[in-house]
Amino acid sequence: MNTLERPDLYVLARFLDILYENGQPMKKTNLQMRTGLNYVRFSEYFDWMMSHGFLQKKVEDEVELYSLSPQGLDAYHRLVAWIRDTMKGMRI
Amino acid sequence: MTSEQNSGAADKLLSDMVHDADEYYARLNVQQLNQARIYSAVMGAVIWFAVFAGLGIVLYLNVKGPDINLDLLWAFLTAVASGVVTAATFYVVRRQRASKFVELGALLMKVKQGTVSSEDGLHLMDLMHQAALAMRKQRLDTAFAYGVGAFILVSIVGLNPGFGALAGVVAYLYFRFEALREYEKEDERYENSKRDIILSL
Repeated sequence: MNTLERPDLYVLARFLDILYENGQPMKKTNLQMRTGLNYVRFSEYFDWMMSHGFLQKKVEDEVELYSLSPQGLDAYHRLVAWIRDTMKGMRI
Repeated sequence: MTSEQNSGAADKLLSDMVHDADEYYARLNVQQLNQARIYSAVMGAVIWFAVFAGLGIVLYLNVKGPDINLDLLWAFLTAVASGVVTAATFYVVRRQRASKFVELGALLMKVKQGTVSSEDGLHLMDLMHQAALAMRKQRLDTAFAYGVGAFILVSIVGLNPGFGALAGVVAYLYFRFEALREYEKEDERYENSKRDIILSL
């Protein structure tokens, strides 16, 4: 169940970074280890990302593997573009 | 755009980010140093003038004859010493504020040596924002300088320190209010933009 009302941008970015850099589908356990979140927190973010269609699942040898969906990839690009635009707009 | 072109574009954006942050950090340091120099010089000059004028008036009213020349010299030297101490103090205090940018510099060094992720980009962006806010907060000091300036100007022109003090307080409060408003607006805009990007994802 998706219980996150306002996800932390840093955690979202970490999820997207890991999945983007990894390129290949990965196990949920590996993803949790790489994010460094406890299971409860990880599940909240994982469910949130699934509910937003950022992740796609595929089953290989009865093992569930996850990777970024096209929407997830698009979200990653939008996040990166937003960071760049925000930085460019910063004045001292 | 294909997914390969997309990933190339994202990687380029990430490396451009580091470049932008690096330039920003360099500008920040130069501007902070220049502001510290200018501000301490102005405050030193103001204090020198105020002390010299104050002692000069006291001497003019109390000392008659040739003795006044030596006393004026002492007054001048006291004013110079006060100005120098004030300028040095303000310079040190201002430069200490540059330590707030140390974390940004350290993160920049780190990301320049390895690959950069969007999480690093977020960290850089947040630290740049904090640094910008720290620079904005320095305008509170400028408000104080305006207050002192108004006090001196009105006291001399109006020959009334009471009006001078009133003008100084009004000028200080006005410029302080403006600086704080700008500071809060900037911070709110930044937080809103973060909220918007989460909602838009």
